[in-house]
Amino acid sequence: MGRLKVKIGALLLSPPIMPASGTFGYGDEVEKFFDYRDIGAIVTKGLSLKSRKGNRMPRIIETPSGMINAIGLENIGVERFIKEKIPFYRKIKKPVIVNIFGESLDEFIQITEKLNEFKEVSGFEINISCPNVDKGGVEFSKTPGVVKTLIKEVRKRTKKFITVKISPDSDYISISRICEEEGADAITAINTIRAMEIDIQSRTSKISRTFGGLSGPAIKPIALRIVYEISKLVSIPVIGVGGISSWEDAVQFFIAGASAIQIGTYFFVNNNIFKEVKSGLDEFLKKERISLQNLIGSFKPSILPDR
Amino acid sequence: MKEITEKSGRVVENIKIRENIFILKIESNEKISAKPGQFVMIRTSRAGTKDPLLKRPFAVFDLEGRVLSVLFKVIGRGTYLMSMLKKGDIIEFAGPFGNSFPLPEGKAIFVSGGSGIASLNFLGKKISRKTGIKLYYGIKNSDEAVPLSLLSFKPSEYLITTEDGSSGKKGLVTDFIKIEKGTYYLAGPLNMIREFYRKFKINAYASMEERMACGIGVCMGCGIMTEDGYKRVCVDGPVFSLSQIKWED
Repeated sequence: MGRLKVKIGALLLSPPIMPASGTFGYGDEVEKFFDYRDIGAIVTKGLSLKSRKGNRMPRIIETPSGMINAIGLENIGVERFIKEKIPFYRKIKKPVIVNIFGESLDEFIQITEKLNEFKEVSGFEINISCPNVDKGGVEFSKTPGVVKTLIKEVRKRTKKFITVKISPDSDYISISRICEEEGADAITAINTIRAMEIDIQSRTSKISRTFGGLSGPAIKPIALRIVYEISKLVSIPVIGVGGISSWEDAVQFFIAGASAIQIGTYFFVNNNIFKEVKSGLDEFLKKERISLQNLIGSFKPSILPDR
Repeated sequence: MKEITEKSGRVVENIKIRENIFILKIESNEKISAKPGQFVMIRTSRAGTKDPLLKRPFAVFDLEGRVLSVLFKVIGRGTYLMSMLKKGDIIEFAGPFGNSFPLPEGKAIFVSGGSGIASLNFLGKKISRKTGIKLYYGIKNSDEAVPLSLLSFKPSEYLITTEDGSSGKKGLVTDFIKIEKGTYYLAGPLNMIREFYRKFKINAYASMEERMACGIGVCMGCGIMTEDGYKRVCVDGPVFSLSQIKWED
């Protein structure tokens, strides 16, 4: 498996396959059955300064080849995280990327400062793309100026790896440029797509909010397109995520320009998906006699004119 | 050694016991053990397809060696596909997951509503040799009745209620409960469980239901509000004591 190594900023991912934030808890929940060698890093559930209760039930509804969720960033808050989760990370010796969320700039700064001193935390994924909260989340992305200040201020406070998780429902082109300018090490694309489902009898939403975030195989072609667009645009690496459910999907993301990938919803469906993607990718590289580095961004656009 | 969650097996039998109610028996390829109250996540899409996407949670109805049974009612696309399964079909599932029912102190009293019997049956089987079991069995109408002969235990006493009076007593099961000494176990619609607690104000163990995506405690989809905030039905439950639950929410 020596083939499956990618360095992004100061972070070595081996393999360059990670869980998507919010689909892997804090990582310790699955210890009884999960082999952490199948992932290059843990990406935690979105963490805020204070604990959050999240939205009411129902929080999820299945859709064709996908699901809509409106969890609302239920999490234990940074203090409990330090006390209860950091010791576990010490034990498993895997890079840990903490997905951080704040309703204000100040909250982002405080979480970064509190976690920066822990060597068990390898980096941060800045969440400006959650569709399921009233303040913060994707609302931040509406004003690129706000995102610019946010990344700049977080960057000032940590030398650790920073990736920015962006929303497909934002001006991700401008935001990606800002990420690069302000010194982010990577861009995570994409978060869930804002979506809705209506119960026709009651004419209300099938989940507890009007909108939720769509994930799963249904969104893969959209995610792939956005990863392609962004990786053409910026020189920092893109972490591709959105609907990956097989090693072939993962290969597509690498070809489109992703330097690493994340798997989310499909982990619910198949607890062995990381192992399967890792070995499938490895076999593919061997068979095609190509290095992962050369596979990344190797998409060949059609040279024939459209007609 | 790590546990194996993902399993596969073959359909031994898919018994249609009522118009919309089935008992599906699966012979697992892997060794399997389960405690009463636990559930399995069953993949309802055909091998190689991804729709319906999510696995569905079902209580362990029975387990004999490697043969696992679940009792299900056809509700949506997933259970419809399950109803079409034939002997020999390959099926993928995960689990068993979740906590389990504690043992009774004295007599066991089951209060089952709708398909709730699906999660009480296995408990009945495990404890019926040691203790008497009284079964309150409430359903909408006689079309929903699972014949007692198909259960894996024999209740020492039972009372059947239907909402339309087509079988047994007419009314809600909670209308007919006479509180006595023993341990109460509840499974069924949330309204039945809530009404039991409101009316009798005694503690009991209840198997709770909520929509689930992962079944392994990572997605936070299946919350239930308790005195200590949201708990996950899949790993902190599905069995909760009624006094734990925050009912006004």
